[in-house]
Amino acid sequence: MKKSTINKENVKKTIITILLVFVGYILQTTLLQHMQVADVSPNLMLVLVVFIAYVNNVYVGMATGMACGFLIDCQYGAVIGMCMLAYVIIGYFCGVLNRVYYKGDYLIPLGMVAISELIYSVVIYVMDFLLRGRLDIGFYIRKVVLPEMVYTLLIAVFVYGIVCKLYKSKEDKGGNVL
Amino acid sequence: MRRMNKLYIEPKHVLAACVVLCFILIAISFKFEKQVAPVKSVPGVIFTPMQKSISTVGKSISNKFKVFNKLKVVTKENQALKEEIEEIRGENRLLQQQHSELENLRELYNMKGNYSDLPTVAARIISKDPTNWYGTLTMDKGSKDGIKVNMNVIAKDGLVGIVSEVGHNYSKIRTIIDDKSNVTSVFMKSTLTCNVHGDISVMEDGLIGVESVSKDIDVKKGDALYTSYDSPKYHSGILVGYINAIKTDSNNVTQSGTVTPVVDFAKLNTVLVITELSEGLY
Repeated sequence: MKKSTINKENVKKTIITILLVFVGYILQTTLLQHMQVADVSPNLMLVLVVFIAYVNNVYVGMATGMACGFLIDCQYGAVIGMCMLAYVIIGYFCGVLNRVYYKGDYLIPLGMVAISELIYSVVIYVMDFLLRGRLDIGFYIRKVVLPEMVYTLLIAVFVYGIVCKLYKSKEDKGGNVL
Repeated sequence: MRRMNKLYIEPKHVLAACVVLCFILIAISFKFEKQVAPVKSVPGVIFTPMQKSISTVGKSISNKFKVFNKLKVVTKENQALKEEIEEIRGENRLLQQQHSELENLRELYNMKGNYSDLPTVAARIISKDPTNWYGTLTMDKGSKDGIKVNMNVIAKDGLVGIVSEVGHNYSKIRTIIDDKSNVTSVFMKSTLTCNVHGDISVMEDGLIGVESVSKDIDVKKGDALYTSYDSPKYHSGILVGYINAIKTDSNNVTQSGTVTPVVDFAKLNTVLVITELSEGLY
């Protein structure tokens, strides 16, 4: 009997995750592109990968990373696999951190968003810019990576609240299962 | 944790598998670029209609935000523009005369006209590049409207870019500000070509780079650059932009600098696609 309730919960969680990715992707490609500040837009998909991985577990994190990466790769078109690579790594580390330490405060998730943003930028820079001989890394950090990080952290604060609420309401008191 | 007993794989191994998969995908999409394109269009087909509607909402919201702080700027601009219109009217009259003269001469020489005679299709921009590293746009016309890869995309004042990928109901434009874009261009006063390329390091100032300008050409700020007859993919004579700054390279043979594109990419929401492919010289 216990098994069936767990399964039901899992199904609900899966549906929430898929919906989050779905809505996140549409917002990322449309609305957020119109809300640019200092010529950068926030990386909502990255925030979603981090939080979904952190709130669930390492496997969900990696699956979400793959899915989000695939969608983004398809949208901007150059090469499939680059964002996927970055997001899968991010999903893995955030999922692992969930096992090590899970507490519903803001500081750790936000720190993770910042670190993930760095991982993401490094992967994209190395794979697509460094390999084409663009060596001016200081410039990229100053003009793309840092502004994007600040803006992403800003929206991450709101997104974390939403994500937590979504998962918790379905989980009730089972919040500290892991 | 107990429930994972039946099928438990170490997360590291899953990660390793995923990373390997990513590298394989990267390799495949480099090697078989054409075959991969239809796969990429799968999410596009599903998401394009939704992006279309939400993009409209987003635009209206961002416009509302801008209304407040723009009013002052706009009144000032209006004044300046009115004066400019007067000036331009005079010039226009002169140009019209010259234009009709040119038409007559062209007919005499049986020369091919410029790109304004080519058939175009209007399309709406539905999505901009979701990352901050590239300059791609997505528009709402695709293969079902007869769009093909390598068709030139213009706005009413000049070159926007080129169609880089076509899906069923959408296609992607690689704009001239993209870091990977290269356009063979030419000055009006010389037949020597130069290369206009996107450059992310000047992108935020709304500029693009220009290189390989021969030292023999006397280039000044404000000189117009057009697409060249030599260009393999672009139709000739499309206005690309105006020189912003230029200096002689250390090799003392060429000059390079920056160009202000005529198209305002931040405000762009409709484009024209030239539905005739450029034959090029190659």
